[in-house]
Amino acid sequence: MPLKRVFLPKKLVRMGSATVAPAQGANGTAAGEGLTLPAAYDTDRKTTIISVTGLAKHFPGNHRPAVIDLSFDVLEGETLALLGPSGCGKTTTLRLLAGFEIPDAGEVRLQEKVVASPRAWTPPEKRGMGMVFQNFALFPHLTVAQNVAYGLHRLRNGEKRQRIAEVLELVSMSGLGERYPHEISGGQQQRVGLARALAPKPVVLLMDEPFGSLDTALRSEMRREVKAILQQAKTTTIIVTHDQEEAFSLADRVLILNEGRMAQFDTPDEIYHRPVSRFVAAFVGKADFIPARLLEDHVVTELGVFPLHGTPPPEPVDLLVRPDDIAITPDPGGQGIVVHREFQGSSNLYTVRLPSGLSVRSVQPSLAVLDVGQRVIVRATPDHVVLFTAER
Amino acid sequence: MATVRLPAIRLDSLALFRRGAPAYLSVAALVIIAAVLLPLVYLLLRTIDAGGSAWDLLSQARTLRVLGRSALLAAAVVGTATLIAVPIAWLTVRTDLPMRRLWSVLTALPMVVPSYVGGFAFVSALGPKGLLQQLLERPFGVDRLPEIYGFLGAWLCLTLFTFPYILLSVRAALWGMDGAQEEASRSLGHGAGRTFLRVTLPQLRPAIAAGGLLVALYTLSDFGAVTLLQFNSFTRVIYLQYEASFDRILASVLALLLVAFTVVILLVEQRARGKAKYHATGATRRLPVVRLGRWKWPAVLLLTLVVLASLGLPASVLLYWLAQGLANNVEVSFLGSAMTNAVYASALAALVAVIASIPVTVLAVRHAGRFSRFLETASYAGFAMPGIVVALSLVFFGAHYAPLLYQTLAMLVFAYSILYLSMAVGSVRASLLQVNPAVEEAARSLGRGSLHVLATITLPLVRPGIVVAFAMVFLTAMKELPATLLLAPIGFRTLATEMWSATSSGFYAKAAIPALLLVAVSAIPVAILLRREPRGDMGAR
Repeated sequence: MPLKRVFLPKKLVRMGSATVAPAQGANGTAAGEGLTLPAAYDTDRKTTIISVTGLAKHFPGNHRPAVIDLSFDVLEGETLALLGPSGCGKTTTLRLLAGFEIPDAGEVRLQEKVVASPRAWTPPEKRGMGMVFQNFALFPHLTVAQNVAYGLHRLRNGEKRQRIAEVLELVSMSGLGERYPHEISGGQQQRVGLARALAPKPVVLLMDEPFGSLDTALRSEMRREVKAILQQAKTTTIIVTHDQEEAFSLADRVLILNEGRMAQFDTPDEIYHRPVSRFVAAFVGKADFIPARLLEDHVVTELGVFPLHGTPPPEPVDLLVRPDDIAITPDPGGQGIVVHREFQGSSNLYTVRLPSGLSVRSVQPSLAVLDVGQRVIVRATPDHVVLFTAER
Repeated sequence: MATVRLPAIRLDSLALFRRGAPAYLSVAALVIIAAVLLPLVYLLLRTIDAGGSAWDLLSQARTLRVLGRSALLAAAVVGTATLIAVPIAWLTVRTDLPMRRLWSVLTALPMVVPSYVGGFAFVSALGPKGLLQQLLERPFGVDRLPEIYGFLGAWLCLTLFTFPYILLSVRAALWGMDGAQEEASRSLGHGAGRTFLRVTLPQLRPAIAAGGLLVALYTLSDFGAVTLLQFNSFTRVIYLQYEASFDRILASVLALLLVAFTVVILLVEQRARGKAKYHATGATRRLPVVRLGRWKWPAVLLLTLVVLASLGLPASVLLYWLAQGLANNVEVSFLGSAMTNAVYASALAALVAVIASIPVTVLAVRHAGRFSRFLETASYAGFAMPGIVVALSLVFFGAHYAPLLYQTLAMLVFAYSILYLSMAVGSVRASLLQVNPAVEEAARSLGRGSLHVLATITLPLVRPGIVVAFAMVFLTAMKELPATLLLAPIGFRTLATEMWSATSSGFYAKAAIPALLLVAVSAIPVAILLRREPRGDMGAR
């Protein structure tokens, strides 16, 4: 029994006015597997903590602005990821929120109060935002406990000690308070950075590439730990990252930036399955685009016919297929030929050439080894039919 | 019709407010820079005031001859110092020279001889009826040595005591070089000699230029050696004008011309540096050791000669006069107060310079913009202003506008601080650049204001730079001569001025002890400098 999936309209998700999307993805479903998406993130019942409107920043000497006309809201308790390639403006956005940069235009409201606009600017120390830095930026001349105590100057001594113990406990660093930053490991430094930022109970926690300086193995471990700590602390968090996996696993909502502009702002699932532009589609995962024709309420491609729901963009169009939507089975009579195998450890990524000369990629299990030149039957089972105006 | 477009000025385009540079920093830095520029501006105003007569003086053949002489001396000293320094640098870094480490130290040591001590050694040893002539008279009947006064003496003396500036700079460049480049050249079919000329030497050019700049500035601003050796370059003529006729206009014009000449040299060097962007890509390959073979002993001979002339000569002269002084019970009671005075004035100057360097440095490093870049450049004005120029201007200024400060210790400390602010800024800057700005931002994000963050985070972290800055300024001010001569309060005598007056009156035995003390004092910063060099043999890198 095919399941009919319903998508809720996105209410509070405002797009930057200048967002470029070659075409809106057509909403549609492919019949088949019984996977259900979580309901689109429910933005109705939560309070807005940060509200950004028309934010822009241009550093003198750069040929293009770092951030242009950016507008979005951050809701209480959520974790939001600012995701994009390097130079997309995500760190600038974070620094504008923190108060380390002054915007050229637009404003930032923190709990209804304007903290940054071209006329008014609240210095970072008056904003009550905690920040975790890429290299943690621990004070090298202070011990772990003194680092954590630095932001607790408004507390009395007894309370201060208690709070230090609390947050060190939260990040599993109890007993290491007397160490100096150079005496602890990278992962521990990360935890101290987090504890220090959380200690004054900030309204919002900002994290700038928090796992960027850790090695790969430690990174995924710290990611899990940080997620648990953030859930426990219930702090509204904004994370800057260039790693889509990190953004998807940590964030409730992801804001994708490209060249200073908002490219898409939605839940991780929506962004992955229904990207609004080719850029987003290719940035958040591997994507191939195959030419398609529209026939009444169907999409006709070289790989088959798929049902179409909603309004498609004007023809000519391309259909988005991801390597995990493409199944290949060895068969001497198959229409595709394996032209390349990339062994990725836990899986194999095959490139298959179709009769039209077009290539698509397919992910197969690690042990499913096919030779280059092997003929295969290619089947596509896209989760969602997403169409873009063709670049032809 | 051309229309004039006025630039739109916005609040944060005024660099003063960019990136939230706190007003107290900008204001403090502005005041400091105004103070640093005061001597120069005052000289300029006075000269403009004099109008036509100043112009006449400037275009006089006599003035131009002074300029020509100074330029010739600077060029000659830089040239010979380079010829001495480059081979020595190469020998002590890249070859299997015996006792390399010892030669490295010995050839750098002439830096510790203040120029007026060197000049004293030259006059006393090589002058008419000097030690060398006396030594040669009995066995060989020599009653005349070639004339040491004038260009020849000044040239030799300054070369011997300044070549280490080029030597250290070139040595650092040689240490930083990637051995793989030379190997690449050899693999492409070039011999050792061609490789040195076509790969190694071109890469040493920036280092030679940097060291040569220091030598040129040293030569132009030197007062002691040229005065003792009676060569009429800028500083001596200015001093004589001031001493004898008190001709303010001529002295001012000459001083301004000297500053202008210095600035031209700085600009030329900056241009040259801008074009030559050689990067040490992080030395990855160990440098191959060059075997000297039968060239070993000629190399040792060259080094021995250089060390004898630049270290042996002053050392033996000083020790000779020390022995003479001790044998004849020469007066030494002045040493105590001279030492105390020098330490007191220098410590105050170091304190002032270090404190003043902080706002300038923080602004320049943390709030980069046109305004802060201007301030930082201006803080280097002291570098381009010879001590005699600053002193002269402050004498005139004090006599005119600040009679209460004239001939007080405050005025002397002020002059020292102006002269050495750039030194303090350089040291604190190097330290601040090591501090990740995110550390300060972290402190701000934890709810602390910028002044509190400066005091609790930034300053503790740049403490090493502050300590070095204090030590460098202190030790350099200890041996300062021309500004001290002109500005010290009456009766306030330092080691340098005591030594100077003893030398000037021919009382060499009395000059020896303060001279030795001064050498010891200036040995400390050189020791600090040498400790930063990579040491030991190649294998230890």
